Amino acid sequence: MLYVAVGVQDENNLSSENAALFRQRFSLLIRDFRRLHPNVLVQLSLYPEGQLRRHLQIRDRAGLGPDLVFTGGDSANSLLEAGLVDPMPETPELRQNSSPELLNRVRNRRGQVAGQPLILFPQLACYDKRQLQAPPTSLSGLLETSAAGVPVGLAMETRQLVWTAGAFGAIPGLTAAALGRQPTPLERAQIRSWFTWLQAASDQQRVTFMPSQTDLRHSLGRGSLAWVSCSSGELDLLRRKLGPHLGVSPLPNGTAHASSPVNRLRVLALGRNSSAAQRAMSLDLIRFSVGPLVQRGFTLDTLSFLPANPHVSIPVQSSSVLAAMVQARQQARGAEQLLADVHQDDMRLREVETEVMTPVLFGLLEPDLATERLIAILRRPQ
Amino acid sequence: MRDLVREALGWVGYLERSDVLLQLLTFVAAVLLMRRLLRPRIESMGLRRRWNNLLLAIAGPGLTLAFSLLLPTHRHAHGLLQFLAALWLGWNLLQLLELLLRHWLPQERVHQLFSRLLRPLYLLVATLALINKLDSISDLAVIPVGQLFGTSIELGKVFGSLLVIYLLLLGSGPPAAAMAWLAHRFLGISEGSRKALELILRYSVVGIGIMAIAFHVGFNATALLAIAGGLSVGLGFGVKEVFSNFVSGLWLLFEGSVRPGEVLMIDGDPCEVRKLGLRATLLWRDRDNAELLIPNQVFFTEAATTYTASDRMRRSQVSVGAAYHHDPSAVIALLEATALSVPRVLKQPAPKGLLLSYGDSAINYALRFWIANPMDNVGICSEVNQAIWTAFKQHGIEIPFPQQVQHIAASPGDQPDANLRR
Repeated sequence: MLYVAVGVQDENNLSSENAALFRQRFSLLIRDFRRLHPNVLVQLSLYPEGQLRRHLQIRDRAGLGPDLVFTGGDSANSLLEAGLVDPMPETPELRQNSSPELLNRVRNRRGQVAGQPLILFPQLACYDKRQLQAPPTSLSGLLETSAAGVPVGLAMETRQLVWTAGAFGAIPGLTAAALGRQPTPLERAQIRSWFTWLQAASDQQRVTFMPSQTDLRHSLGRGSLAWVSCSSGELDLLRRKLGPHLGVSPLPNGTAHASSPVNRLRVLALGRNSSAAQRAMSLDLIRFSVGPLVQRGFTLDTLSFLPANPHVSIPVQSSSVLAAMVQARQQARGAEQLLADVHQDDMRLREVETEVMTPVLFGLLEPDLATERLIAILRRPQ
Repeated sequence: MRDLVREALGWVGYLERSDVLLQLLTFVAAVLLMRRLLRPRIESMGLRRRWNNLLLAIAGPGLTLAFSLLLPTHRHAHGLLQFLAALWLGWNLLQLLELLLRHWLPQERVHQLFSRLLRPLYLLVATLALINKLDSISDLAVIPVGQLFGTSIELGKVFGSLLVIYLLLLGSGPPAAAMAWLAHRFLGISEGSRKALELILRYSVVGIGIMAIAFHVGFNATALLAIAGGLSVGLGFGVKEVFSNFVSGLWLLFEGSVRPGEVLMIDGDPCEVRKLGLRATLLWRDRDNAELLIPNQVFFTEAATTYTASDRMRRSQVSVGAAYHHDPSAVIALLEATALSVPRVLKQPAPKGLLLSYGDSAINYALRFWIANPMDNVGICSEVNQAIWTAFKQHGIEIPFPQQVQHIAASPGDQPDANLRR
């Protein structure tokens, strides 16, 4: 018996819809794995990502922890720091099946890998084709679209907005600050222009900043928004709501720079309470999951994520969604270092949200001051 | 439901882990040690009962906890063992609390509180806490158990709804009783009306609660109307009697004819209404201390005799015979005076003696008198009869035995006896 705990992102409470979707996706993987190991049963336990750590602590203390934890890359890092998962054994086989930049996102200072990268949920633009014929390809185009009366939605969460920073070339400045260095005057100017655009967007009547990604998805599904930033992991749920009217495209770029989507990495981490047989079987399942054939089949079956294995070829001509996801992965390369340095549960990120982003979006903080405050916060050690 | 069973069966797989097995075996060892070794020793110490109970309550869990503290030093998980120790301690403390409360509250109340509320609630919380260690409760809660009127019903909502309904049924009693008591106290409503109001308030709270739960589960107004439609068909067939009794009960409450405290004649015996339930009315019969459970619709559809509709007085009667040679007016005066001398016979309306008929052996009299509590009729009649016997004896009034003079009639054709003629 293998016990797998799954952290479901963007949900404070699990919904039956989301749980069924996760089970359905995971069953695709397990079904094939059980052809090789018919005597293995896999039991899934889904948790809202925010509650995963607390529940793992409770189960771990009792010796009832899961054998595998399927969670976000940042979450796996914090679980490794908390001693709730074991580091991955870095076998050549596993290393070969992961891209180095993805492995970096789950590697701690001691060089341990918190989990095996499995899939990537690229950040995309989702739109309702009934309200918007063609998606904007630039940030200025996005504001023009909203000015023309099309309702646009963006998330207030900092990580969900980082893609707009790339479009202004602000990522190098943010990365420098996160590494403790002083950004150059040019980098400061780029950060400032990012804030100026955010404030301009916030001033637009038809641009709505929503507290969470889930709110954006629901609003698009209901038809109250026509264009939102979304994660490829939400495409299945949106397809159920919008059917053929769902449009998917890469996020708009800036005039001189590409946007920097934050692609969510999902990894499989090893639990600490497994018996020897369960540990061996867990490693077998991981090896099986990152195999090129399985990853390719998994990706094409769902059309909702990209494989973490860099050796899998994606037939982008066959699907505009796949093409958008591949483009998002390429756009995101510039932000990989920043994402590796600033994890989702980094305290600095929370401070940036309350001290900088929210005041900027509400027009309470000028871009100049916001830039200085942001740099000061990011330069602090974690 | 199949998913739930599969999940539950999957938990057996934890036994594959040595840490889990070790904790469970340690717990079993602690329980056996407690039963075989510690308990007899504690009981033989001769402590005062209070200390004895306390020591018994904490010894087993304490021993388990001590074992669990030894485990981490050997790099073993110990949370399950501590959890089981905490559950054991909680259960024991609950029992101690029950013993303690029996000093201050009526035993029946304490028993109800623990058997219906606290113990089931404790077991429920303990089960959920255990599942929380084995699995994800929030995940189990969204397991779909079926579809009803286009609404997907999830396990968590079903479970939560049943729990809330159970708590509503149990917990609505005291607040309803308090509201009814306030109305009784400040509005001056009668005792019977207080009990009726309490029941009506309770049913209202439960009814509103069930509606709220239905909306919470996800039924919309259309679905509820569909349920109501389905119910109306069901009422016509299967549950007609149940519904009929329920509606009869509500009607009787509003009407006030069958309320707790009322006295009704059932098969010739006065019976006091103890409780008007959802399906049936509970009555108490004084004669043999029997409790009768009669469906509400019986009172709704059949004639009933009550002694408490407009007042609680009952007119009672005893019969007696006196010899022919006594003056009837003297006998009647004596009977009336005798009735007045019995303490539980009301002075007003005054007792009334009557000459009923001329019998074969005696003149038959009736003594009618009024009593305050219809349930006391048999006892008071007995007292009056005894007083009549004593009074007749003192005044030399004879209660004659039945006397019969038999004549042998001659058959046609018989010759008269010569001796007799002479």
